[in-house]
Amino acid sequence: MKKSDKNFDTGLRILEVLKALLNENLKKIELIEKLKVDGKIDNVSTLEAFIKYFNTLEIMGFELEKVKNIYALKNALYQVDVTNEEKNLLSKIIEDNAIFRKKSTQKHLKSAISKMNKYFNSPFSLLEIDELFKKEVKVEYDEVKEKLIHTISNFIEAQLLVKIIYKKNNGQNEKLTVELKELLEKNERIFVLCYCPSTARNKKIAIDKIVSLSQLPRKSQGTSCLNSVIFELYGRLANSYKLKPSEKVIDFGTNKITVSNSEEDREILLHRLLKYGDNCKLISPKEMKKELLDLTKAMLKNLEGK
Amino acid sequence: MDGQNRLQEKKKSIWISLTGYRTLYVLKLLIEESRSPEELIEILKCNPYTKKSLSKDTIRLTINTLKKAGCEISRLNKSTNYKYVLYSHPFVLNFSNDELNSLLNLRKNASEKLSWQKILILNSFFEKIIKLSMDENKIDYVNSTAFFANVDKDVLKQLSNPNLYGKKVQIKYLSPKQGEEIIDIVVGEISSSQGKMYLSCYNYKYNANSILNVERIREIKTIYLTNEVEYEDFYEVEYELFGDSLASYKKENYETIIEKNSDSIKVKAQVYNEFFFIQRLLLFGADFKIISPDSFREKIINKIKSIRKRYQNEKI
Repeated sequence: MKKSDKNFDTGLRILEVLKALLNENLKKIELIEKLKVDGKIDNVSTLEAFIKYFNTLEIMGFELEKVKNIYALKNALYQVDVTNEEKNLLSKIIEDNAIFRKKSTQKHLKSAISKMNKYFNSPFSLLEIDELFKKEVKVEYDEVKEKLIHTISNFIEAQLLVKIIYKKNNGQNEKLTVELKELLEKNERIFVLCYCPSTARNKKIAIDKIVSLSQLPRKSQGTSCLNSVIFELYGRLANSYKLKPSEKVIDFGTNKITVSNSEEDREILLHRLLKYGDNCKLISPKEMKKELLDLTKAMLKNLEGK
Repeated sequence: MDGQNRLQEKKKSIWISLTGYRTLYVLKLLIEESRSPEELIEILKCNPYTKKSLSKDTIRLTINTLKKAGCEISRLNKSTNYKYVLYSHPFVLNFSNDELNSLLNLRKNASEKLSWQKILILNSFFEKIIKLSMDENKIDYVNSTAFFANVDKDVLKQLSNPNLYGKKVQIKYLSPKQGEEIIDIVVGEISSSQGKMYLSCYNYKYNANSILNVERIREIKTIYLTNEVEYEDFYEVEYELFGDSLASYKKENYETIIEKNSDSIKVKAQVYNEFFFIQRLLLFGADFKIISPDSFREKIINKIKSIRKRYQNEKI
């Protein structure tokens, strides 16, 4: 080894312990394993040496917390001023959003929050962070709905076809074979977005309308066969329109764009296009144009009192 | 130092790693500012744990240790004034791509439901946090994808000042068609919808109430002492809601439910932003009726008729 490459191994171990704890909360055995696997450290620590490292970190002003055999660093090299208002808002949005997160996203989000927490001048405790992520559903929902949401989440992860029976607006039941895609929330009501292979359409069903749900032992072929809805937008709307995830512009002119939408639930899309008023015109499919005209006729009937 | 304290100090020093302590301490010192080896030796001499006088060689090995751990530290040369300069280190807030994406999704989903004031608090929080990563790419990405990222902070500060409400001001506005123009307006309410911030105002260009995208307001040039227009910032509309839309109805903060039945509700709305209110009603489809005023009912009827007019020459 060149003179210029020599360093202090002990010092290096302390720095690696600090680096490891900044990124994750770890059990002692994991910390030791991390240092061995790293390849930079030759001979790791006995219990005595480990206590030494932790004492050294504490003398340097790093606070360590141990909960159920997990070691967590409470503070990083520097802190940022986070107000109570910001912490409360962060807690609220984590809890409110819980139900719509997949398990993998939950894991990454919790890890991100744990990391940034070390930089807060007034951090959450380990237990508080655990509590934030314990809530998988909103408190207001009853046990039956809670169970249904769990079932739907599991079916989404499994990506198998599902037989669903739900109550339509006219009170009659409809039976469909669908692939469940994701849970959504609108105005505090929970919906499940489904893809129906037989109609090649997406459908959004409110979970409180679901009568029954059962998994089938086969996978969906995917959503590549969705029928597109084509519409035109005009004027300022055309110039400032922000494409939704399943949309693309297929033609454009002066103050006009033609958009193709392939994944959005038809009923929701219809209402959305309605709100654009006369700055929008449905081009296809024909049956959807008829639906729009029937709907606007019914609206006029209500408003004109005829 | 008496015998008891000496014993306690001895116990402590057995149970800490002096080398490790010195390494961490030098890191902290270099984070504060660049230092020469002589300065580091002097500071360490005064520290109760490293009080022994150290050699330059020890300092050099400590610096090597920091470098091996991933710190980027300059050599001693004329350009650094013979000081160690810490350019970067790995003890920063380091989100993986998955972690960052999960945070940004959380922010996006939350921003779709929060008021504009809460969105700004959230944005400020994220700005503070991502700065700790010291990664310019991540910082730019997080800040540029926030809701209202393109709203001028000074303009917003002025517009949200309650003292400016109802006052006539002159603004520089970037119109989509005309480009930059100077307009006189009377300042009304700020609102937000779908990631955009809007200002309700009386617009002297059109002699009517209008809504401006706050992102496009580049500057408030003048605040007038008087205004000629009696700005009516809202008017009231009463409507009835029923059907399937009732199940998913969520009251806006400008609405009051004045009557509730088993299959319908009656709502009174203070309409500050007519454009958005009409859009809201249209989303209800055929599940609503306007109770009053008649002028507003006519407006909506004409709006729906103009939609139908688009298809009048088609055979459907």
